[in-house]
Amino acid sequence: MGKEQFNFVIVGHVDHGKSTLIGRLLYDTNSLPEGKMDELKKTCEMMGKPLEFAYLLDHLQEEREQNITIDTTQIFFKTQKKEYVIIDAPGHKEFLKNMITGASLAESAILIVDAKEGVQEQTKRHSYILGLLGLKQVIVVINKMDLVEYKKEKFEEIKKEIVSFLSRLNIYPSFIIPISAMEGDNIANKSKNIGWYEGLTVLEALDTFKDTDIMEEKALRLPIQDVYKFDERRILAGRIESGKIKKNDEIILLPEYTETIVKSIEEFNRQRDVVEAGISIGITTTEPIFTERGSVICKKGENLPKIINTLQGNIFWMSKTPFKKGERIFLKLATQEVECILEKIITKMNSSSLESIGNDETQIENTEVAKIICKLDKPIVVEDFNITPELGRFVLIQNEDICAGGILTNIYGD
Amino acid sequence: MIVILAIDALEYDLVEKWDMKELKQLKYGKTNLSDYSEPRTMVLWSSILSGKNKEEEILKIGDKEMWNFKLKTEETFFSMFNKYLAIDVPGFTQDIKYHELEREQLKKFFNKEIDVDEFDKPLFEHHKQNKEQFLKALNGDYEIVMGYFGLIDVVGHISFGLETKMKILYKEMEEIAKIAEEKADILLILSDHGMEAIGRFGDHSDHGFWSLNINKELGFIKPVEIYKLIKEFKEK
Repeated sequence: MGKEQFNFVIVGHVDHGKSTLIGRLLYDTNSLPEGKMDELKKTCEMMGKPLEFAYLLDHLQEEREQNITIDTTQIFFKTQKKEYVIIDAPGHKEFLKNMITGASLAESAILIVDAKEGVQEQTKRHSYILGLLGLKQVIVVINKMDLVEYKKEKFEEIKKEIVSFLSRLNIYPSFIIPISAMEGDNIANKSKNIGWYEGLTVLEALDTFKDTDIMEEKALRLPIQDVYKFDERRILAGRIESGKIKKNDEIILLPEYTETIVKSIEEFNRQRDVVEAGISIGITTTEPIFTERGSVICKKGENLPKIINTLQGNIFWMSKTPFKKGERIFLKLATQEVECILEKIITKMNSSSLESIGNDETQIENTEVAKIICKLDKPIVVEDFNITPELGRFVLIQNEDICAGGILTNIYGD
Repeated sequence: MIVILAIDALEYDLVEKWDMKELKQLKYGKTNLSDYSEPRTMVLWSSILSGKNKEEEILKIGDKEMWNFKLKTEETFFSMFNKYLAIDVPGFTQDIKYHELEREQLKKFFNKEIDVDEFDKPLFEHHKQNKEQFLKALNGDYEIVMGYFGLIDVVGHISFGLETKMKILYKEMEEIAKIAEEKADILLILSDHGMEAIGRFGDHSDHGFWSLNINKELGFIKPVEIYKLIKEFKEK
């Protein structure tokens, strides 16, 4: 089952024009509800000013605030080729949180850099997050070209700086586009002001991106969200993260290694024979098994994920309270929840400068990035982030607040 | 030069929400209107100018007539200065015709004789005139200039619930504040009261706003205390 919508995120330093770019994308693709903007347009006209595209985003936000049923983090528009969802997060913390918790997953990213200001602290921090999350489809837009008189030299200067920085993170942008979101240069239409640029516009570049891996073609991974008892039946419910499951499949539940056979597949009170990745279902088994939330259903004969007692990963710490060596913390990975202890801080890095702060440190401070080892209280099921993202990323929770997101690096099988 | 940017109904919460740095300046806060039965424009500006609570005196005049109320220069802090300019300030230099225009527009709007755009248009025109005069005065040879801007209040009464529209107006005031800050030795930004949304409309809120470009904390200052503050500035 292919995806109907393509999700991407726009990141970059504050005031580099993120809102204006979103507003422009909506405007140029006629994605704004007709008539809704008229009063704002007229207000700007009466003020003798052009309508700023950032206001479009404000207006959408305002409408969302008035209608809480609309998702506040997603903005929709479409081109002739694709339907897009812009994952909008107010800051890097929210973005990272959304990505790592799986609340909203972007498949690609636009990194926006101000042509006048160049690479700034948040540009670096957001880039680091893109690298951390393994986002490979990246467009860099050098915005506000109008403010530097559309000069090629300025574009090349910033391009060199950002490409050099991103390469240190193993990010190789697919496109680097000079734009002016305010003036509409190279967003939907080729710019007459930037005649020296012969590449694609932002929309054309986005249209070339592909949905990431087709998850249904991979091995079955079905993390159990809950176990329900109905009559004599026990229904194991969860969302299929990858692969397919069908009636009579021989399955293995991990980490307990229980083998059984699928008796029925239930989806919202209807029975189905085969179900694929992306669908939430319940299954019953031929014999009663005792399992709980957190276990992962896999298919016999397919490759299996790893089971670990010790976790190694890169984390981005987002709490004012430092995370200290020897401290206990709550770890959540897919539907698995386990307490663990911070055994070692291998390396620590400033997320802005990407400079190493030190090795074998004793604590991790707010916005620092660290490679850590945690000893888990009980075994959990994991997999390489690039194969099954849901089983390769985790969050750390302290006092019910998500204070770090992380990606597994080396996996120590036990 | 001391500059007072008087913005009717500038709401503290929105300045904070949108992080309007030019309006916030170095120090900022809410004003304390607890001595007043209601946040009335004429009462509050008159109290600010005179350093006296003018509520009782003005209410006696009656709702309709209160807009004819005018302080004499010697009753205001302007009397401390030789060269001053007060642009469109209610209770002092405001032309009653502007208030009548506002009332007329509101009446027509609620009688459905005009739509929102027609309501807004003459108010924006008036704003432009005040802005032009204010910016010109900033280059003048004055000891103190006070510029009053009523756009956010009047437009807000009809459109305060449309936040984005209000943001456009706040950004306009942000730009004016920026220019004023460049010219002023001391820039005091004041509102008489703020505003809160009632559906798409707006009504006065129970606090005003102040900000300063110098490192001085005014706390939860009362309108009548502004007089002393201006005196202090003058003496320094």
